[in-house]
Amino acid sequence: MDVHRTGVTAITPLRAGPPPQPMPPTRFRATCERILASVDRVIDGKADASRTALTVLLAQGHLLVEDVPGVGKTMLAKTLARTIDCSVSRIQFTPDLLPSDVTGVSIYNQATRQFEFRPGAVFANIVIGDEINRASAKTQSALLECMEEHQVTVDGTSYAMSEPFMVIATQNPIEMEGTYPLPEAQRDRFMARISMGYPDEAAEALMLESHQSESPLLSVQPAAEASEVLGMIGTVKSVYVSDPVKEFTVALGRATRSSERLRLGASPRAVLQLLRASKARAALDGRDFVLPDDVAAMAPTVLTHRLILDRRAAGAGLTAGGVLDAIIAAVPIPSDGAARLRRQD
Amino acid sequence: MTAPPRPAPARPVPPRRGPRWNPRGLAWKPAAVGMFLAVSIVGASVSYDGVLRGWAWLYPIVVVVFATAAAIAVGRLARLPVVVPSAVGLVVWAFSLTFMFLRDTALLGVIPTAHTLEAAREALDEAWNTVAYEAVPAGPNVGVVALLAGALGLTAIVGEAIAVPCRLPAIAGVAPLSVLAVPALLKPSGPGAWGFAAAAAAYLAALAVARADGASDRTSRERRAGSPEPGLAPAPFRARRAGSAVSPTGVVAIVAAIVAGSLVLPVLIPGFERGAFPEGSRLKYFGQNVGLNPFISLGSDLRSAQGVGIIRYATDSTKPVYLQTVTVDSFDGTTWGPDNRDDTRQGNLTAITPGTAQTAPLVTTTTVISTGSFTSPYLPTPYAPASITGVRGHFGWDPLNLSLKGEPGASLDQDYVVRSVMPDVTPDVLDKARSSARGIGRENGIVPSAIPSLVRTTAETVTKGAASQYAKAIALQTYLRTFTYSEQAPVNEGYDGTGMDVLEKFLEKKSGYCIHFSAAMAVMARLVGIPSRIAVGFAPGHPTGGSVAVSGVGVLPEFEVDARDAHAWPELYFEGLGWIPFEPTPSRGVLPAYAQTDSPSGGSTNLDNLNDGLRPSVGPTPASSPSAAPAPQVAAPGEAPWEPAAALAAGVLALAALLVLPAAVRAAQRRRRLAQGVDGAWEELEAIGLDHGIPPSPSDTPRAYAGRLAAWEADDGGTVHEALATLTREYERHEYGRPGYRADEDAARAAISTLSRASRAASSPAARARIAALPPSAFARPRNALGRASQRARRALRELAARGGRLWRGLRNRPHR
Repeated sequence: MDVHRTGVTAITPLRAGPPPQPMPPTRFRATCERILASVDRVIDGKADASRTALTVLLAQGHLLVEDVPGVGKTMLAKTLARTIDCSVSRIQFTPDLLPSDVTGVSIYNQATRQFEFRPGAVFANIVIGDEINRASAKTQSALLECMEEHQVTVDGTSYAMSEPFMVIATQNPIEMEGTYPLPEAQRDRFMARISMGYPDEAAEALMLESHQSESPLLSVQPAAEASEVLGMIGTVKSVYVSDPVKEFTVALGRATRSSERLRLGASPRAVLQLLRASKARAALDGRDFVLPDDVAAMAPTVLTHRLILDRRAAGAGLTAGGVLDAIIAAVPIPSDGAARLRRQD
Repeated sequence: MTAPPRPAPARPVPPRRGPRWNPRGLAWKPAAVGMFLAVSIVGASVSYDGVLRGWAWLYPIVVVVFATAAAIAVGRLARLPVVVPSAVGLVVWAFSLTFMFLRDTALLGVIPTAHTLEAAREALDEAWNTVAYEAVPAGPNVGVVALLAGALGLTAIVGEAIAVPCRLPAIAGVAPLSVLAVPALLKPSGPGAWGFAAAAAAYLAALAVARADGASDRTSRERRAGSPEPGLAPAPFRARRAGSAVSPTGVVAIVAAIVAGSLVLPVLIPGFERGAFPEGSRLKYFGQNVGLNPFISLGSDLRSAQGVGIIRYATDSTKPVYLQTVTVDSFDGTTWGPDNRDDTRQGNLTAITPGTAQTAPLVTTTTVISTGSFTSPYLPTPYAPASITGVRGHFGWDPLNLSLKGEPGASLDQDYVVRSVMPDVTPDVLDKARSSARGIGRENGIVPSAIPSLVRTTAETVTKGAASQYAKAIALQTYLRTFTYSEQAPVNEGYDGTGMDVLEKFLEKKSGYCIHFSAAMAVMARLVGIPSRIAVGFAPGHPTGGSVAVSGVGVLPEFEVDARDAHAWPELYFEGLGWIPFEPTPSRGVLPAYAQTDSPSGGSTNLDNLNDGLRPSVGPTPASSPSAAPAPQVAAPGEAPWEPAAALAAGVLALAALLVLPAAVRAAQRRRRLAQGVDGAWEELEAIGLDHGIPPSPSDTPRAYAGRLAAWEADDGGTVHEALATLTREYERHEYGRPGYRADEDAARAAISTLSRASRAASSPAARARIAALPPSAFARPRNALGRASQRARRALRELAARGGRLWRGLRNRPHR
């Protein structure tokens, strides 16, 4: 087990906190720019990935970063965590990691003659779960409750996680020996999955330059406070979603379920998370309403890791991403007025 | 995994808004365009002065046209759907016509009833009957004025429809032009300056208002784009904008429409070809020619509305004087040729002698002739001239027919005195005279070999039983005088000419004018052995009331003839008497005393038999009367030729309407959409894209589609990009934004006009023409609906088939279970 912790996490029993106050649009934009700028200073040429990561944070989701070793998965997670002035913990998942290591454990205090709760690694604003597929199913599932419900229940007592709360998990798709692939249910809890991909030539050269002396991570200064992030989350929540966009989101989800090429389509939770992610994207784009473009743009990131290809489609060499792209291109955009000229077939 | 490439977000444009024009306010500019066009049409109608007598006709026209136009204008003001104002205008048109002309038969004075329709038909019939035989200027009777008012009212409706809903204000100039075309064709002085000026001024005003309407869109766009001065716009953009109001194609279209209009108009307006507007059927493109072959121009001279080339003469003759210019002697079966004997002409004008012997007592008459503007190589003289004094220039006389010929046009402005000598013939003398071709040109007796049997049998039947040559001539004349005189019937039925086939047709139709009558009599006279020729000249004119003092003769009454008196008559040769004129043409000229019979309408039994054999009915013989005021007569069989022409015109019009229909539908759709705010503007954008080969796909988001349309971008400073961004932004906010957002519709409309221009600029001329003629978007919705319906039907059929198949398999498998 390997847990690093930075920052201080307040452990509070479960109670409903006041809803975060939305941040005004101008400050929202400025803060976003700041965060993205400082992430991009460390992660060269991965603006898309960092933007998606911020989107997921603002949409109160969790992020799964999946790629081969050494492309900066952990680096991205750490940098994002550092740009926000909040508590961060990192769990290196191993087969012998126990659930209590994640959630925490009650220990009998001799002095007070009482059981005392020792919080686990999950009690932080941003939790980085490295190589999550190396932990046993039991430990993985311990993370489930935390991710979904933002609370930990130990010995019958529930403890609320501090807000904002985000799990950034990485996994390595290559090395399958001794791993426990995330079950569908658990994959469904991650709002989005991204791949880092290799940096391009220039970015790689730049990386060699910047990483020569010391880790650029150390130079990262927090760009926003946790309370600010809460305000931004409030802004995202207040983004307006019109009926046509809702219809489009639902139609997209249903299209994945009825597709002959998919064995498993998007769950209603996936549809919900897709809309949340779209709202965050709209807010990041400076709008207070969601466009079908937002939904269509977020759909591959949000939905692909939840889809399971039909055996025949997989045999034909299709990928879930390709099938989803085809579905997005085929679902008509609902519209009140103007689409009368289009072929509705 | 990364997101698939989506179009970049639309470039944000600083949301600067000008003062917003209330989109539901009164649309006074389109209304004004329509009213100005009405003024233009009424102004053009002023030029009908001279076609109709007096000014009383103007008032009903003003009322009908302005009532119609005002109704349309009110509809436009209220922004009614595009066809509604025109429909309202049509109703008001009918009401105002009823009110002005048929008030007594209508309900409440305006609403037409069945009686009104009946009365209208009667009025029209009556109008035709009166109008058909009235010379221009015609009397402004109810029928003509109603016809004119109705036509002008319809013109106003059509012109407005072209200018406003179709947005082609320049083309709407066709409306006043078509009104001006009629007097321009009919009056030798042209349409008149006042009418033209009024029409042109009002038309230009309409154009100006239409342009201002378009310009208000542009200025609002400029304001939005942040360029305060129009002069700051990039040069190419400015140039294109300045040229957008009247494009070269527009000008070409106007010219084409004028030509088409002047061709279609004669067919559309009943009476244009007959009666009051006779010249419309045949334009004399080369002026008033009286050329070497007088037959060429005689017909159109007769049809001409105005008396051109007035000849005045004063005579001491006791009988009506025929002025003869030339005779035509030779007939080759196709044409009658004038004499071609210039080398034998003699120059001594004081001693003209016919080469034939005279046995009857002679009568000498003196005639003073003033040719005025009559232009011909021949001098008109009363037959047979013996001496001529006072002519200027060199003339020669032909020994055979005594025609006087000089240089082409030599007859212009001549004043001369003619002494004519004619035998004083009586029926008795004629009856005794023999006819033979001795002493005259051989050609006067020759008939072509191929004579239609109808001509020959007619000649033989008519003259059967006639004892003498004279009796035969009288029989022929009497028979022909039972025919109907019509200048239009031969034109309309296509037998206007002089050939043998024409003659046959004439005998069949029994309708024609002097050329046909004289040719028929001449040919048939030759068939029965009487030498004949056709004299061309003028029938006796009408007294002017004045008198001329001629030295040595005394004071003579003055007469005048003009082009409408142009005439041709047969002359038959009787030995010892010379050439004797006859008058087979009913209602023209004056029947000479020797040629009169007791039973002019055909008392001969032969005629009755003939009629039984040829044609069951013969028109009543009109009383002979001076040609200047033709008596009302039964109309020539004119309805029959009218119908194919009308059908052809209707066909042409229907074809034109079909050709214009898609573009008109498209224009109407565009207008409707642009009135529907941002939703409509976006639909119009998709329609433009569809037209130009970039159709919207069902899964296109607004900005994805806008991204595809960015291909229209030209090198004009990103106006297309900006317009797309504006339109996309407004539409997205309207469609997906918080409720209550009030989109900037002016900006959307301005963006649409920019994009419309850009799309045109981006496509080839051929593609532009194709799109203009047949815009794919015009019928996209019905086509899509049809496609959906057929898809549903196919699906249902498939399901039915599958169900049937299952049922069949179930039935088949049952015994095995």
